[in-house]
Amino acid sequence: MSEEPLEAARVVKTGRFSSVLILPIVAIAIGISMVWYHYATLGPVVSIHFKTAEGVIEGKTQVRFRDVIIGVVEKVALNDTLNGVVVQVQMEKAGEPLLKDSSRFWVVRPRVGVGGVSGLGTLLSGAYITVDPGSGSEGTRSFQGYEQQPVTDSSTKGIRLKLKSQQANSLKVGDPVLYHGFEVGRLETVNLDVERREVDYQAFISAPYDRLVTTRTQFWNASGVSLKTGPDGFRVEVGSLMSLISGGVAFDVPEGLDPGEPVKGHHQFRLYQDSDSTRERQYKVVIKYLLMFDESIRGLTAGAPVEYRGIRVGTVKEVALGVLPETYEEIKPESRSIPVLIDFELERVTRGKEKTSPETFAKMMDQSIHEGLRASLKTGNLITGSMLVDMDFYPDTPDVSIETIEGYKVLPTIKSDIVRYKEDASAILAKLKALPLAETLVSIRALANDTRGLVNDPSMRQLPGRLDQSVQSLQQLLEDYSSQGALYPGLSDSVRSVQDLLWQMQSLIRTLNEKPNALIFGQDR
Amino acid sequence: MFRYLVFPIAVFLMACSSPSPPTYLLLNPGTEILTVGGPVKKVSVRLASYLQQPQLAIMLDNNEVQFSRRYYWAERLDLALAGLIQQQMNQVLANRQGDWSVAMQVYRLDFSDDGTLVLSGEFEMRNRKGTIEKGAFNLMRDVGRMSYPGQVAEMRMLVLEVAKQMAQQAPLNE
Repeated sequence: MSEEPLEAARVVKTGRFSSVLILPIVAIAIGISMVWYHYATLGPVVSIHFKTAEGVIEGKTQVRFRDVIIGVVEKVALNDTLNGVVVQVQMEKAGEPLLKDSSRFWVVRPRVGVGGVSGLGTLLSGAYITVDPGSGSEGTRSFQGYEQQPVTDSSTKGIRLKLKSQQANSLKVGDPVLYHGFEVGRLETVNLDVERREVDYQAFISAPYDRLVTTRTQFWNASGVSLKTGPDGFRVEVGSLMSLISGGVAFDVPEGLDPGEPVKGHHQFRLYQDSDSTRERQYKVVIKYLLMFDESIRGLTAGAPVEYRGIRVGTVKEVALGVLPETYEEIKPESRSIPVLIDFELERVTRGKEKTSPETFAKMMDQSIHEGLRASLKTGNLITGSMLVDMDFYPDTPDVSIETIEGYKVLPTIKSDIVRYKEDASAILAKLKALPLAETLVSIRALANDTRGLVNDPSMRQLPGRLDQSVQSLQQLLEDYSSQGALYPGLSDSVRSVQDLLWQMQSLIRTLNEKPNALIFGQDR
Repeated sequence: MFRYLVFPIAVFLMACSSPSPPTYLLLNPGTEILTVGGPVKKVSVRLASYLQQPQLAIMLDNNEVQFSRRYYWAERLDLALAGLIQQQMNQVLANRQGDWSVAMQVYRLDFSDDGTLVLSGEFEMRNRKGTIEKGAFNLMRDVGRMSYPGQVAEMRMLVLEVAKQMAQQAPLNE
């Protein structure tokens, strides 16, 4: 057995690249491409500030635009002041064009309100963030999120207006803006201006209705039901069903006025309490007069009408002692009159005619006062007790000099009818009081006792029976003398005989008148 | 002595000498009872003052009235006129039903010595509801010179004519 020597190994040089490496290389390449694709499709990370992160979950809550996913919430954290949250969203590349200066983000959650139900789909899918792309330049990475969906899309055409009011008027974001009951827009924001202590509303009027808003347009609160009591009685105003439920704002151009020019965006208007207030504001040319009443003015309030023989000529501006300064008592210490400031609204008096200047009107008023023009209080509504100021001429009143107090001319007053009646009634009561009622009552009582004694007298008790007998006798007598009675024919004959005798006597009397001795000598032949 | 009695005896004899007796005339002799009943239930006549006496009033010229000393009405003139008019109206309105009364006011009922008769006045017809007709009448008739009894007969015809005219003016529907 021989051992064969081992054959020396033959080294064969091969290439450096092994086919085995293909697989991992491919895998690596795929991984790299995936990573590249991942980063290539990633958009920027944006920060959105919300008040609360309710329903927002890191890594799960999506950002959608028209239901297309354009990002995912990456991180949710409290802000530095702890009064809100910052939501960091990893946007996709496709969503980057949506990130503009005025883009608006809000969280879509299930909501139930008087305006309706929304976001029911998120009950199963969970809340998500959506965006309304605004206008402006791209590149913004930090946004202030909205708690609710903005009232109008940024793509909706129309104009935005500023409305200012002294009160919030129970209006809120989303309330409708109505024109003749038709919804033409909505309130977008409600803010309180602390400096001016006014409530600022932003209203959006959709095109083409924005052309209805002109410089003479007036806005008023048309929310719910308005029940007013005044000298005119009760009045109920009800808006549309929607405004009845959720409130609303109405606008129009006052009747009889030129509409004016169309307005541009962000024009500022005053929001009036109601439609009546807009009418009152039409009268801008006013002359103020002061009335000094020496009686109770209960029932007279600011806004009450001032009438001249039933025609409204002005408005009570202020009913208070505060109209006058503290030095009033020094001006007229003997008086305890209550001042009432009124406005004569010249447009009411001169409507449709050539305008009367305030100076001319003041001269006419001076002359009228000298001729007996006086103001008095009148009851405007018996149910509510509302009062109004009535003016009329009372020529019998003495002439007075026209006073001026604190720059206001004083229009003389007379006592109201009620006060005059009260004074008359007081005078009558005073006279009644002066009557000797006690003595009269004693006399009446004595008379009653006497009468009682008379009635109880036996002969008096027989009186009715005797009266009855007398009446029966009289009745029988009358029946006898009636045309059907037994005595009538004889009586009638007697009367006729007397008439005949008088008939014959006429001749005799004439004969004796002509010839007094005719009884002896007879008549001439 | 006897000569002192002559004057009283003469006065006595003159007083005893009676004139001729007066003549009494009837406006409505009642020789004809024309109708019984009728719509006119009552007629009342009111005479002018100068007619309210029995002597015939004779109209002379110049609005002068003379009362006859010989001719007298035998009955009250207002009653005679009422009866005559009621009879005549009921005869004319014999086929009518009603309960009417007539009030007459006679202003003139004159006999004149030249033979002219005048009868004028007013009348008013009433039913239970009120006045149904009012009117006036003024009739003249020239009968020529004739005796007063003859003129009374003519006056009777004049009264009947007035009553007929009044009846004809009565409305058909009350």
